[in-house]
Amino acid sequence: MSSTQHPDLDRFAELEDRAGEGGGAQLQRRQKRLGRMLARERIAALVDEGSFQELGKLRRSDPEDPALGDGVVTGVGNIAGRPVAVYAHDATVLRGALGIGGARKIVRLLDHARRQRMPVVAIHDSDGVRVNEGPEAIAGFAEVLGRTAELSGWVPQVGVVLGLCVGGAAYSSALQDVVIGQRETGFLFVTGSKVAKITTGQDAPIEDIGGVEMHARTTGLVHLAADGELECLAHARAVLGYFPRSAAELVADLPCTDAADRETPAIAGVLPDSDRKGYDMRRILTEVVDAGSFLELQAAYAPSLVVGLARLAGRAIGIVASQPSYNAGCLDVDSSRKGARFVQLCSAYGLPVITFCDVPGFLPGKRQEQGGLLLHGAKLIAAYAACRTPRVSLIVRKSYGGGNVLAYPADVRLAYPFARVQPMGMDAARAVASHRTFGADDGSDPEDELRRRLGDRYDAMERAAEAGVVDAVIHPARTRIELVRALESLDRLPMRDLPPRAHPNIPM
Amino acid sequence: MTREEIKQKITDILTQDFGVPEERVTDDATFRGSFALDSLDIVDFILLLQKDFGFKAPSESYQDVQNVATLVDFVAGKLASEAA
Repeated sequence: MSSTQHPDLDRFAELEDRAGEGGGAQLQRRQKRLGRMLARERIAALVDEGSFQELGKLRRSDPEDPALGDGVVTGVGNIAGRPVAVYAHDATVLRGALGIGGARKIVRLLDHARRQRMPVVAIHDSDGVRVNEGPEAIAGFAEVLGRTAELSGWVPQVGVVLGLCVGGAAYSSALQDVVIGQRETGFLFVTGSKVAKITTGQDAPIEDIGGVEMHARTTGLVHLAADGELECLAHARAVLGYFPRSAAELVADLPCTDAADRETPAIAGVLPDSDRKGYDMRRILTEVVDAGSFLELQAAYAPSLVVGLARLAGRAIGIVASQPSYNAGCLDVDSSRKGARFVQLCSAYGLPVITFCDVPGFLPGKRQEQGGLLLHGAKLIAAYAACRTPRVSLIVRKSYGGGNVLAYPADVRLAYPFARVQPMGMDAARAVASHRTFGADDGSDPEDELRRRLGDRYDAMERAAEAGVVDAVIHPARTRIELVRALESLDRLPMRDLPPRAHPNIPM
Repeated sequence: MTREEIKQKITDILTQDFGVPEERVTDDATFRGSFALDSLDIVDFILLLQKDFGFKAPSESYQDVQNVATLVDFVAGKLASEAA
């Protein structure tokens, strides 16, 4: 039977074409002129060529709706040969607003992703809920948000924010594991009604309320900000390359052309002469991990702590690292939250965590204390303690006081010979000792007295090694070799006696 | 660029991208009242305006724009300052 002989075949071909028109030619033109691709173009750019199978293309919950598909494109494609569930709001249909029909499509896709153990990529471009659909639409979005939250920890979820993203769509992003945003055209707001004030200038500028750059710097909601849509979608592909299909599996090693036994002599040149000088920890990280594999997340947010994905001898890992070039690497409210959520992410999806530590402690002061430093610092402690994947730490230069929350909770603790582990730095110890013990003016030199009491080894690494606080002292030039060796000694399967999901990766 | 050319370009955006009938694009026409653009339309409109005229301006700088005539003034001012 030829396709032209049966009227139903022609009719469905026409319906398929109509569905592809979304909200119509004028709105598709506007979308393109705004520098935004159409929903199906975005998906095509995301997945392996020709791999996308659209599901629910002809769905239409409202017979009066001229557009087919209920404003969202859903389906399954491959990224690097692995299946991925994808949905993309179609901004040409009621600006991507979600009604009950679109919500049901997404929920069905998320259920499919859970059963089939495949990651989810959501391409957000939606101004929230279809107000005209009333309570049913609200219920629909609630279902989407609930399913997104329930799916957390089962399969990796990546959100890509390419347009206005309001209300429920914005909360969907906040629930996902990694969020990528387009700097110029991506916006995330809680409520659409606020936008009226924003655009009339009666409130803060729109960029300050919900711009991608703001979220990348201030809230940390956006993990990666990029200038173009294609760049954002490429980031999504790259991010998923570090994760398994689901929490029930391990991410496969990649063939590694960077020798596992490569020495790292350049690290010595990164470290400054003076202990008081900062340096960019990323120079050490990129020296250690497989060449070109380090992908930093939330780079502009809470910069005193670096987090990112990488590969070490082909194995996917998560990295947490102090950043001495910003506030001397002090932990604070934001960096504690950042580190905690990242460790939780690694734990949820089987990535070992390697922590590079050069931290003088938590940032002191009223602002930090009133901002909940204890609460957020505790999240970091809890996240490391609950981490079910291998943890390796390396003290690069110092681990003082409460900052030891980074280095101590590890299965293998390494340190450089010149690194120091103490309740506080030498200067602070002198001040405290001077105040508490030598307060009386008896003419003695507090420092001399302190050295007499504590000995010259107050700061020496030998004490930490003797005390078992450090498991091995390594030469900087052998950093990569020793970290590879440490990881190889640890069980790849995280907490085998637990079910595949340890916990959801909820926002913290 | 003359005021007439600026106004024509604005008119093109409104008619071709937002479906506003050309005859409604008068000097005293307002974006919300006359063209029924909502707040999110206006965000898109500003982005297209900046793209077509080749300047960038934060959203709060548009707060004195009330109608088509004042938008033409605003754009003319931006183009003049960019050229200077």
